[in-house]
Amino acid sequence: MADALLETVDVVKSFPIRKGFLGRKQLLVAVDGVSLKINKGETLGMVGESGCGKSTLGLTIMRLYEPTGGQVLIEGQDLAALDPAGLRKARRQMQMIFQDPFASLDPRLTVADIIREPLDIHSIGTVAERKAEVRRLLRITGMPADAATRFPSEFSGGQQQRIGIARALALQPKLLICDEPVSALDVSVQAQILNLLRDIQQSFELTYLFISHNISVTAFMSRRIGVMYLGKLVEIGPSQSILNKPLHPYTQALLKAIPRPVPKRTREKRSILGEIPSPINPPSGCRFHPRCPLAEEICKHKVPEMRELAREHSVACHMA
Amino acid sequence: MRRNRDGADLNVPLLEVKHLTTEFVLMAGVVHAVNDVSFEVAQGEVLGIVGESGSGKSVTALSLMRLIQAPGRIAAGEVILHDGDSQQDILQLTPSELGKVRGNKIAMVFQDPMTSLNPVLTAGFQIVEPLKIHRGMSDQAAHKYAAELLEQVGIPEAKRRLRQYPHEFSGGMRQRVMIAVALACSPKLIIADEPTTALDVTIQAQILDILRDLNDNAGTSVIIITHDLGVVAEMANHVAVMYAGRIVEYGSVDEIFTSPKHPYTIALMSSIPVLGSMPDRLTTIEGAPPSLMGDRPPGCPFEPRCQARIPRCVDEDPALSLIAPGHLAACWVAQAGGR
Repeated sequence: MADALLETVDVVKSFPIRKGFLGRKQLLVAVDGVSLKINKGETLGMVGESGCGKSTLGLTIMRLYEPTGGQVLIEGQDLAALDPAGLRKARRQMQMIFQDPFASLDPRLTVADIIREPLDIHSIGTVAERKAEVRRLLRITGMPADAATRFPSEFSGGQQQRIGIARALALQPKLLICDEPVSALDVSVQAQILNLLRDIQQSFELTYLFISHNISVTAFMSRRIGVMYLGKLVEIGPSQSILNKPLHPYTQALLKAIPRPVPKRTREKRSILGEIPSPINPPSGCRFHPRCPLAEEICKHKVPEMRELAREHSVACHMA
Repeated sequence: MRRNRDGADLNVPLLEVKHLTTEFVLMAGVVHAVNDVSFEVAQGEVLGIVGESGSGKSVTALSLMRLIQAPGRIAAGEVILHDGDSQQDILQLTPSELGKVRGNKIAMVFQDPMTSLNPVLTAGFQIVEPLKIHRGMSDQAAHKYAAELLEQVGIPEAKRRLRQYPHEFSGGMRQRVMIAVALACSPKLIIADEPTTALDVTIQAQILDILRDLNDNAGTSVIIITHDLGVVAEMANHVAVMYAGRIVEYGSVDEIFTSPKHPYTIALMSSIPVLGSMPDRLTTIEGAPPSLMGDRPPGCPFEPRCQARIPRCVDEDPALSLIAPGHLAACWVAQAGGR
């Protein structure tokens, strides 16, 4: 894949934590050796349950977290090797959309200020040009022109998310990291934002990392889907084969657990037992083994490697 | 004859809600959060109430238990609870009579177990309390039964867990404790308000299993309130769709999902991505729900956003009426036989 826009190689992000006042230091490994590639113009969906590390992965790629290990390459360029000025320039190429649109907009700035801020910071264009750009971005994201002089609190959640998208587009990035962009929205509004994200992807040839706990939404958005569990990427492949032929027992369980909007009790009971273990002291070997119906002796001792079992479809499971 | 999914009789009424109207009196005006809502829940039935934020589904649930606090008030209506041959209107009960219903005959499970469990009392205390109050159990007997309840909802090491505080449980485990508290007095009806919204899907599946077992085995009726159409499709016998403080469509789960008739329900169904059939674009509902503050405009509340509207919708508000056996819709177009 020569035209990978984003590549991560064994990215690790861990946080030192201390339990209690004099407790000993422990390491919470939130992202543990994730390697993936996203091609130009493609959407990679990343799904997993809370605490699986999918958001931390997004923030680490953005370098909002300093990676503990591994490399993040944008168009082949290692971000970690850049000096602060170089990093700032490279950051223009990637932007992020957050889950809670209101919390991620400064309540004391007008919408125009919010959208213009990245242009100001990077000194792009004249004052008049920036103003025109704000108007253009509002139009693209389906906001009324008079929104510019108003404050974020005057808008609904869906509109706030549109403002967040307009801000993210201001620097004409190549990569958008969407971290649960519709989780806080009602379903009818969710549909509007998902359609908008697909439209702007086509118009601006954007590449997306789409992070969500909602597999149906992710499948709508993504050509390929990755599945994370306890900091590890456990499976990655084309959306269709992930949905139709999931190879990892966790992915299988996850898909079975989703209630479908079809009025038949199609979901099997007891499809998955137990809870996600603590990432501070994760299980040995395959991290899914304590909950896995297929687990055997090897799973307790040996960490499974990613293996490509079908075209573009890789899984980290001894039993697959 | 109404039947549930297993063919069991659903004709013995348990709860009848008639013309329930709840409003919030604010400085800026009166918010009509729930407007003339009527429905029934039979013994052994699971009723799903779906709707988006602000549709009035949670306020409806709180009104049934009279948990509406100032500046909110229940302005009109009846909530008739049947118990054998006797019946009582919950809205007319004295505080002490109400105390005998709450947590005893009707119990509630909320969305966020952390804010609805008392953080300074052990899980055990909170399960034992209703047993002592409503069932007059001794402390020892109540603790023994509480441990059984925790096991029933899938909490291992129940005896040890009884001594722990809510913060020592994970989100999914806390929700199990909530359900155990709700189950303690074997209520006839459990009202579950977004019980799995805060949970991961694999944990959601486990919690839904518990509610399903409870309905299957003990015949407990359940009102499940959710924005998730998948959860409703899986759990409910009947579905009420709420919009702008009112029920706009009601019917069996099969009717509602296979042949929805209200344009809002139709739009809602097609706005969610469904695994297995991915369109290029999702259907959206343009605009936003109307403000519920002040006097309502004369027409149908969905009219400004409706794709199927006819001139009549602007001036006249359609009542919820029968459009097919067991299927009601508040829509002039649906009542005239559809588009």
